[in-house]
Amino acid sequence: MSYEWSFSTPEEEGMDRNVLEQVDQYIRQKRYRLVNSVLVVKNKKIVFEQYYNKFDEHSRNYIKSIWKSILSIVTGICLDKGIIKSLDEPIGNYLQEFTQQHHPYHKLITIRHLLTMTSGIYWNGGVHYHCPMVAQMMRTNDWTAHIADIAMSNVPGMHFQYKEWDVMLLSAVIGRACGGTAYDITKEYLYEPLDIVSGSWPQSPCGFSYTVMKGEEASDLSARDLAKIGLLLLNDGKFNGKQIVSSEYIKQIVSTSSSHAIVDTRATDNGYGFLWLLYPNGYGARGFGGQELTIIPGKDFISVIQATPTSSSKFYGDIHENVLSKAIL
Amino acid sequence: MNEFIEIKGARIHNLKNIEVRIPRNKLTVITGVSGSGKSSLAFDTLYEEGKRRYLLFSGEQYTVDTDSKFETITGLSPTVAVEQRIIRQSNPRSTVGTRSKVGHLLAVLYASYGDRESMYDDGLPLSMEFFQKNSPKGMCVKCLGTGRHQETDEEAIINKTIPIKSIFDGFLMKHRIHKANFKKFCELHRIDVNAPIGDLSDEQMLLFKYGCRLSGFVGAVVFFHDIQKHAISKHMRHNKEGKEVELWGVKLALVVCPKCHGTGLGEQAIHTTIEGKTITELENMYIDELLTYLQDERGSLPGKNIIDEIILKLQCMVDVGLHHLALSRQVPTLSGGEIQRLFLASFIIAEMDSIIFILDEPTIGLHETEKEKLINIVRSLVNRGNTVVAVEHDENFMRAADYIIDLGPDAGIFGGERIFQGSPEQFMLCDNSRTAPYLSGDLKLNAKRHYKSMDTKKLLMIEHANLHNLKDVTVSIPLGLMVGIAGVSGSGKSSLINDTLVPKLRQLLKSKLVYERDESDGSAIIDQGVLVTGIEHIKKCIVVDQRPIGRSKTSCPATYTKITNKVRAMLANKPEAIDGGYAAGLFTINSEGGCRACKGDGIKSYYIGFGNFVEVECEICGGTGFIEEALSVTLDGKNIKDIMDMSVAEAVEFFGREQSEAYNKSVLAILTTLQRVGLGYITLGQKTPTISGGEAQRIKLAKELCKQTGSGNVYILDEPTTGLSFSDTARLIELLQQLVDAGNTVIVTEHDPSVLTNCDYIIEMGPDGGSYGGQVIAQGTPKKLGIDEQSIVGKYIKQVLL
Repeated sequence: MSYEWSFSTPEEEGMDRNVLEQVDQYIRQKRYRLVNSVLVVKNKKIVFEQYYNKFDEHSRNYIKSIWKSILSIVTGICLDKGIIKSLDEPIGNYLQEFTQQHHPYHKLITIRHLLTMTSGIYWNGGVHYHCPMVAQMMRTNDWTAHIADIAMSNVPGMHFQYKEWDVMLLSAVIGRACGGTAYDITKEYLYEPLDIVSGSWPQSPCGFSYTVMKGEEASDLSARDLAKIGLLLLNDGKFNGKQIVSSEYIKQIVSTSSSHAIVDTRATDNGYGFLWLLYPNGYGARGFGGQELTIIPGKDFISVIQATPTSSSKFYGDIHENVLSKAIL
Repeated sequence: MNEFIEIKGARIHNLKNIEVRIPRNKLTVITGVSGSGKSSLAFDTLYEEGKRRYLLFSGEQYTVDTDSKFETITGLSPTVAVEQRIIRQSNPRSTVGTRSKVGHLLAVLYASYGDRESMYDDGLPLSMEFFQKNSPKGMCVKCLGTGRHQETDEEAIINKTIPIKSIFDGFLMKHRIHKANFKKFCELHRIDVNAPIGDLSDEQMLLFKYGCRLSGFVGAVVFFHDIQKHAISKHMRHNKEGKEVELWGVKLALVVCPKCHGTGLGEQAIHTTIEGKTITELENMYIDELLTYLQDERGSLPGKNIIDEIILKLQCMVDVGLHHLALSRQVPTLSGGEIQRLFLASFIIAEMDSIIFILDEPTIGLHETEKEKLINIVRSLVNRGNTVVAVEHDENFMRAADYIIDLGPDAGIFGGERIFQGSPEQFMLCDNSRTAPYLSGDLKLNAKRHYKSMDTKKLLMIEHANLHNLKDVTVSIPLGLMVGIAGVSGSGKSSLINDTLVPKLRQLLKSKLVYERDESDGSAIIDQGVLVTGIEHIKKCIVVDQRPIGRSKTSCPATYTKITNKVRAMLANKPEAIDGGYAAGLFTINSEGGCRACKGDGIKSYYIGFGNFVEVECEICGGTGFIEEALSVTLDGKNIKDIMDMSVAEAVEFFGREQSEAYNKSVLAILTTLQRVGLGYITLGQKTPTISGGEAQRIKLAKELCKQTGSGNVYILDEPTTGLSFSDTARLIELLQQLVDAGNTVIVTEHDPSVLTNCDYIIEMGPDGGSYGGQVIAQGTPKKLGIDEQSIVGKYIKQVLL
């Protein structure tokens, strides 16, 4: 199923052309040399597109943690199809590593806790989120068993902490539930209907999909494809006339489960949905090193920024804040 | 080039605008009684200014002093200090290995050349962090690098006979967060809370223990585990008096982590060896043994460059007398002297000259033989072209100095003057110094001539002690006497008394043993094979050590000895307080009385970049830390701040005047006891970080002395004369003798031969440290040890007795 994008001009869709045209100058002035793509979709049409560093509309870029937000949609698809029975199922139903009496709290961890980053498993993200604990885990042969060995810092559901463990376990649950990997579900029920171009996601030695490891390039997506995810959410889970994921689930994705999302340090009063960041006027997905997908539903507005990451994880949110969003009339 | 460092107009704390000259490239010793101002001169003036100027010169730091501490200082070079108080460490994750950086070198060695077991070898190299248990990359994920794991005994916490509502003494039904969900759970499953737990069906029991999602109840086991965690960490923070941690009748145990077997390291590290040894094995060896091993195996070990550097560092540590420690030894368990020598070792390794080193009683905790070695090391620092300024009480160290500066004459406001500066020979002729007469021999510490004989029916016997390096030690401690435990560093004194006898006594005597101890530093491991008999003669046992008296920065002598509570009550009873509706809580900075702006500190810190802070007096409270209302109520003209600023001596007068409204017998009793242990000069509100280990011990001793009366008690003290001048030592010995005369036992671990000669009986451990120690090499009266050939300390005792 291929998807044909519609194009339009800023004026026709209620945006200020002059402001949008300042994007290029803004990026050059700020010397954001690593920014590769900037895209604005308004009222479902592409109204602005700018590429740098020899990128074009087909070029694919790292998505990093935007993967988490995509996994959340995949979870909704699994729920709709009955592959998982309920979000409040204990993960022990799928991961027997968590039924081994390693810790009294394990029995309490549910899929919902994974979606809301409240599993309570001990996490130290390291300086600039370089994830030293993941480095240790990656040297073992069974990542799920290793995570089951980790100390618990909180009773599940009590404390929000952004970390990698929760999405890894979520990916493992989906994999075990469907008898394959999370990528299998993603490919068949999300990427193909949306005509998103991607390679096969790498896997852990114990067989669950994870992207931030050797083979990461396979998960790269283009700016336009990321915008399609935005369209899916704006359209209550429908794409091209087909219900990809239920609208009830979409509503939950973008509702507050905890406050204090610590990833986006600019924002002061944000929430966190099901692996999606919530803002006063919308929601979004973020990835290490400048990957941004932002949606303002009230204005039918989607913006995408992609960049080449560095170890200090620079973010370019100001492009959206200071220019793109200001162009909305 | 200046020959002297000249300080003019030094006036910080109690220094009275004094002028001193310190010769460069020489060893200068600053002497004087405790509280005379030695540290104020050496550290707060000389060191701080040297540090400030050097950093200013290098463009880094900018500080503003609200009061200038001196008029001028010339002749300065960069200063490096080792002060016991500053470096009093409390992080249990800090070890000898991490401090000396030898741990890092070993980690690099293992990362580069270690052999990994094939099952754990994925072909990719490991980085050094994998071998460091403080690194999130290297720590065992189960115990987070501590090596210990908290177990929850599920059987023990669910008592099937009691009614459900009574579980955890009813706490579950009352818990702020969980009680609502528990109620829902009971309603949902139609559970009667009055019925016994055993009545629950299997299905209900499972939900009761592990939680029910529908109601949101987390489960009794989970609930217990959560509370258990908080209870253990709270216990560690607040030093509950010697009690075991128990929660609703269930003993909480920390066991060896089953994943890493106590090493605290991740899987990769524990399966990596070099010549068959893991990094943990090397870190647990005594330093002198490790050094020998590396030197012997140097030919066959990989990574020669790293090995050579490790050998160099270990050799330095042996030279400063730390051979009996292991790299894995936690820094908070080290004595003040050991920590100091650890830092000293790193200076020697640096091999620099033209530095001014400022040392704080470097000989503390050292045996006489070790002191000689240390003096040689300090001299070699001087010979290399450095200047060394040491604050000291030790006689031999003073004699080895090139130059002496004496401050005094007494302590606190009665001190702070320069009594003398010049050569040691000239010093001995000085008239108005409190110290000189002891040095010249005119005054001597009294040595006992007659020893109290032991009652063979009243003996405390320790049998088969094998902890650490102890070699199946069996020894009898005669009760009712002053007993001294002697021996070189690492010979086993602490292992025998503090780590074997005390825990065993705690087990046997239970609440009759009084000991404030910080649990976080370790093992509550009891030597299982040891037998202790004779406790029927003990009424109560009081253990006093040198660890700081309070962890928080707001603890001080007055709060520790509970004087503050009494004073606050007195203030709250004044008519103006009652009228104003002020309760006792107003008169403390921790509670209502604290200034809101600076949170009771009295100062505000402003960050000015490059990691530097400027401290400025809080303008809201004028630097007092209290709000106005708290300062408005006075007792005989003094408000709470005035009282906290008083020295003990001043306070004795203040609370002792019978006609005054401040007169209070119990406060006076505590204050006079503090004076008797030689602490007349410290202020009531002096912050704990500024109090030395020896001072902390004496505060604790004073607190206990006030409480206990009568006979039959056993006092266990750890080097109580640490940091004391001759006259203070004499006073303390007198005090301890009074205790013995009243029918109590005093067991002191000591190095000082003059103190040992005041004991009735001595037990000497040795002959050396580490694996060369752990035996009783001599015991008897001081006189007997003086002629015993096996005794090492005997030779020094003999000299004192002559």
